[in-house]
Amino acid sequence: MSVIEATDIGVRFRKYRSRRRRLRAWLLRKEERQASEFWALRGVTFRVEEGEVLGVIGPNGAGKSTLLRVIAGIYRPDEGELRVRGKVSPLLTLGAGFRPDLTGRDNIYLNGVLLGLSRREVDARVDEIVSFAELKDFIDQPVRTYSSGMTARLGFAIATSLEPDILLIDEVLGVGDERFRRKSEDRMREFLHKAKAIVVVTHSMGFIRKFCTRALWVERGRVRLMGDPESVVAHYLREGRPRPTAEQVASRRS
Amino acid sequence: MTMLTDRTGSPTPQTLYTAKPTVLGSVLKELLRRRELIVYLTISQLKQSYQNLALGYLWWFLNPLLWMVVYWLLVVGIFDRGEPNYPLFLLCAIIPWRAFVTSIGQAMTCISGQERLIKQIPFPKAALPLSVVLANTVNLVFGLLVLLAVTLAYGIPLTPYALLLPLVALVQIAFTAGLAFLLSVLAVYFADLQNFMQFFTRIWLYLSPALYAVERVPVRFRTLFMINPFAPIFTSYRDVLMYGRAPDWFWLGVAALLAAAVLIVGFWYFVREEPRIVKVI
Repeated sequence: MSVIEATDIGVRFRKYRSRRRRLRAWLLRKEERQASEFWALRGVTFRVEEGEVLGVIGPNGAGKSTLLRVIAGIYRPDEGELRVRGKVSPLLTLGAGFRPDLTGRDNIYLNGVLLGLSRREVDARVDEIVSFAELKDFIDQPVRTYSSGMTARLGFAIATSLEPDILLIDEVLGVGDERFRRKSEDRMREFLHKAKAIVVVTHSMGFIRKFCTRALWVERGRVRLMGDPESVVAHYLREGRPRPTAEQVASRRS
Repeated sequence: MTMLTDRTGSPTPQTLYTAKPTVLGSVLKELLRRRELIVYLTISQLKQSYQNLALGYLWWFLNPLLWMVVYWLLVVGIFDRGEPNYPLFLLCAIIPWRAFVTSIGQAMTCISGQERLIKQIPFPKAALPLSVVLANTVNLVFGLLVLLAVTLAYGIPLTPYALLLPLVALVQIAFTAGLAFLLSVLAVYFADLQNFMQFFTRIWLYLSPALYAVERVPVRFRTLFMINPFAPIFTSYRDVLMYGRAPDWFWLGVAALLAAAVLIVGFWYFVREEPRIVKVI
């Protein structure tokens, strides 16, 4: 059974030349003329079956992160439809919902319920989270007193305590020092076994070849190629040399 | 956004995302299902506001008391005006006003200041302005208890009309919530709104019977004056507490209707704009 079913999805952004233009467009109700439309994704169709690890590749600005956000339910598709079966964990940036003035413990609860856990589910996980993050002595201190490594560890521990059916990864895992990085990689591997499906956005062709069952090459918001990781990566490396954008060309001239 | 989360049949939830506009009822259902989220956001909001201050929660009482002194000095000391029991008279307006102004101010940053959170974790965004209003409702309740204590300290006997206090507060909270929904979205589109609102709320306060009694307003302007929901709200607080009499039911009713209208429009606008907000901040 497919866990993710995307049919012809598109995500549109509107760009205004300035904030004042937006105000004018809004006041005069002339949204269409003032704004230039930009489709971050368009006509994207794919399926992810149970047990699959889908690797998403493409140059910067191709729409990879937008795709993850649509699957996570953060962006609503402006076209097409997306069917998701199972609990999705957005492992985008760790510790996104932290409030610096609150203690680590308060933040565990706040983040847990934000991620969709119930209070009881957080109760059951809190000790494990604290010990995995190695913050026993600091957990009742405000998060603003933490080092960036401590904050990242806490974020990772909360995010990975979710036990999601579908795991989304956006090129993460630079968490903490060497020892904690190994520990978090172990947990990721454990995750790869438990989750029903995984979608990874990465620039590491090695990762795609080694772990993914399928690869999706996105470019300019459209699917360029999808299929067997080996052949998609081979095509990408041959043809997908990131062409310089107009901006880069302009900056090179000056 | 249609979010059909089927929780009955299979243990795995199934979600369908499409471009169809969101149904108001489904958002309400989702908010009800995630009420623990609203509770934790409210608690966090409360803890956050006071954790760094040496006097902590005391500030919530100190603030209106200090403003009371300022206005008392201004009106009684300089202009030689005022009403009987003027400090209590002032507090009856300043304490509720403080809850309102704080809600509005926090509502304007509750979405626009949470870009990272909103772009990383999916959750019903309406929980943010809602928790702002709830946190300030908790503050308002404590404020009203202080108001009760001060009334008793003045030797003013309480009448059964004091039981209407929660009703007056409810009208105020509904109105506040409606504006909070509206302003939290508008502040995302126009950051300038925050600066503008500082002046606007100040004028609003002076146009409401906070520092003076309604009776001072010329009769020919009275109707226009009372359409401002805070005119009946302030006077009703005073009626049920200070004067131990029934509020002006007609104008309190008008304020209640207005509050309900603002709440419905505010929530509807919020739900309509929710998918767009995420892309703009």
